[in-house]
Amino acid sequence: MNTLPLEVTSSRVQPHIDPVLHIWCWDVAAYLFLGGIAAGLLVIYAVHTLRKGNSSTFSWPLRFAPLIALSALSLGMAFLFLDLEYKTHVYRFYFTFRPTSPMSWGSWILIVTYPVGILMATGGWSEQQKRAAGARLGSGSIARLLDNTLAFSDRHRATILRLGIAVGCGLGLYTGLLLGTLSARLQWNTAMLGPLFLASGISTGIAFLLLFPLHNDERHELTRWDIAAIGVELTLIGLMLIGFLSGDEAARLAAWNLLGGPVTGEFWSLVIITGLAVPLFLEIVEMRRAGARAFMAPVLVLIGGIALRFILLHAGQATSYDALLSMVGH
Amino acid sequence: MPLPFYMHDAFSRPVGLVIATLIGCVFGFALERAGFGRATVLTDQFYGDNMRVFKVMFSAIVTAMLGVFVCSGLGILDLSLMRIPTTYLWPQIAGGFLLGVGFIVSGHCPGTAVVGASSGNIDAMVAFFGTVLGTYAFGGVFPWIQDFYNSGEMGILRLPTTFGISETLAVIAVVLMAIGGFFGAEWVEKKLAREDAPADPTNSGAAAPRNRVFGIWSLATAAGAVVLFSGFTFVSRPQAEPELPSISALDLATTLVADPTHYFLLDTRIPPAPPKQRIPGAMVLSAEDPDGAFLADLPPTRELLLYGGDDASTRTDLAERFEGTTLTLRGGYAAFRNEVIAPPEPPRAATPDALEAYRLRSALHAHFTGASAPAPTPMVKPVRVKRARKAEGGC
Repeated sequence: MNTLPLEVTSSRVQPHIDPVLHIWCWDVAAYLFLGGIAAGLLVIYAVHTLRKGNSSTFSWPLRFAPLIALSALSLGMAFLFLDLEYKTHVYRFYFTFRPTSPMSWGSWILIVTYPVGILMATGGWSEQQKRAAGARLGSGSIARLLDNTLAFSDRHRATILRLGIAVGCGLGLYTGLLLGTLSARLQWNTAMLGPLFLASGISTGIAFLLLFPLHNDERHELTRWDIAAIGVELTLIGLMLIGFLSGDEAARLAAWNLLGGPVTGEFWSLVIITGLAVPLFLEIVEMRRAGARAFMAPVLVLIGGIALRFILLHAGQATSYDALLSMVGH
Repeated sequence: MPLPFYMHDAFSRPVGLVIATLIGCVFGFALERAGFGRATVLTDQFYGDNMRVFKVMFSAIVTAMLGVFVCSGLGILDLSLMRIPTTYLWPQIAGGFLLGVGFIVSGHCPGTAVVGASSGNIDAMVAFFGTVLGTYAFGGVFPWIQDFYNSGEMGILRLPTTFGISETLAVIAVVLMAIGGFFGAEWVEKKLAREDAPADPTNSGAAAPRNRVFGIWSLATAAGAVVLFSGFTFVSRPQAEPELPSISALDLATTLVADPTHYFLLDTRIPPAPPKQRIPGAMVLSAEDPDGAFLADLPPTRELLLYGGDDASTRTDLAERFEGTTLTLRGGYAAFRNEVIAPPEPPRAATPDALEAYRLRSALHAHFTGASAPAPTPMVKPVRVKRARKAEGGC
């Protein structure tokens, strides 16, 4: 008869937990990727608008960036919903707030993102755009609501945009911190994951926009930002590896995973070379040569972004202290 | 003999993947600069007014062949370690036909479709999507066409063995054929050139680049021939000395545990190694019978496994004496000692595969050495139970 305590059998000694975690699959990786894109789009739109001022002259992909961000986030949340074991219990996240729980923070950040994103999208319309929208909606309650929203957004434009930067950064950081706080998984036991996922989210957000027709000056500026974001991402990955290598046995195992271990080939070929180094090279060439256009760079950045999340999600679930102890014979 | 690097374990699989990615980037760049990302360049091949694809592909084939030829002749490339695909005649004809039809219809092959898509060509993106879709569909129908897929097997075919000629003659013939093909292609281009066709920069009539290419080929061929005729021999001639099938030390140990009478084990080292430095149960070649004449008397009910000190035994003469199947042990006794006799190192990666492999090696190590396997990981640590102190009094 099994005499193990219930806590042991329910939380540790079961095939879903040790030695390898099998709980988070493609849907969570896709959510982290889409959440990163949404965060990046919000930050880019807000910064670009604060710098340029008049958003009514933006090209349509950039003008609709907040709404595209909300769409990406909604799709990501649908994937997250698919992952839930007890789907009908999802409302419970919003009946409480636990400051020490990253999931609680994440749930509320996701909810806050929607009104902020809508207010960002409804600000800065030209009079012509407002008249066109008003003509379509007539004079009903929806039209009045739109009028009031447009007026509110215009009145508090700068504040809303700054709030958008904060929410976007929070969303991007949270996708990494969610993993980073689960320190029992060795690959995630680093504070670098939050900034890394934020930088990657900004880069993939820019790459997503670069897939669409933009004004030349917008394309030029976004490409310049993407080069910076990729540079930051490479630096953070380097720091993460240095942190792992200078840590204890568990940290060195996490480093070895990416420097000779099971996911090394995929990490370096898909993330570092294909997703970062090659697009960085292509974008630098595009910036330096007039008329050159790197069609493939944004596609490669997106491939690298999704590969980063898939690989780190998998590597984290495959590394645990329990497995480490069993290896050294304790 | 450092080539091929990968087959000599010069680097691991992850490093191989990284190198492959870098080579892929350079290859894609070269294809793009050759103009292979544009469907018009590729389809012009079939109209005959621009034979650039033919010239580039034939150049690549001949350059690679000459590289292999010279390196093998110099003794730095082991030809037997290079993978040559098996010929399956009918399915390969059908597959080639399908690829050709797709090539003409879309203007791209799978590789150039990726290159074209990278250049922003929408037709190439559609072709690439079609390739992915076709691959997926092939996976779906594979169970129904599996018999056809494996039909018409002809083994590994090479020009020298198929036509019964020497390596050198085959190489020279292919080079001459390439040069003839070049001139023939240019003749076809001139004959079929359309008046409205754009000028092909590779066919400007200038003989200098062509002469340089032919000159390099001729030099490489001459170098290979000189190397060959000056006493060097090809490192490996599979047709002259067929290799015996081989198994790994772990596979051997696993089989011996499951079925101790599966193999006749023969240690081919002369003089014989001491008993403690042999695989348990192995026979040796005695001084009275160094050629293993006794093997002819062994019943072919078991397989014969030959092994040397640190490599797979190449004594095919021993295999010829035995009636049954003969195999060799990769890495010889050294591999068996390192992988089975030596205590296994705990894996660095906490993956299920690594743990499973470690457990297998521990069990094999315990079986062949008598050592006890490492104790399984305790799942629950003992916890001291605090009993409540008895209250004073009572009965």
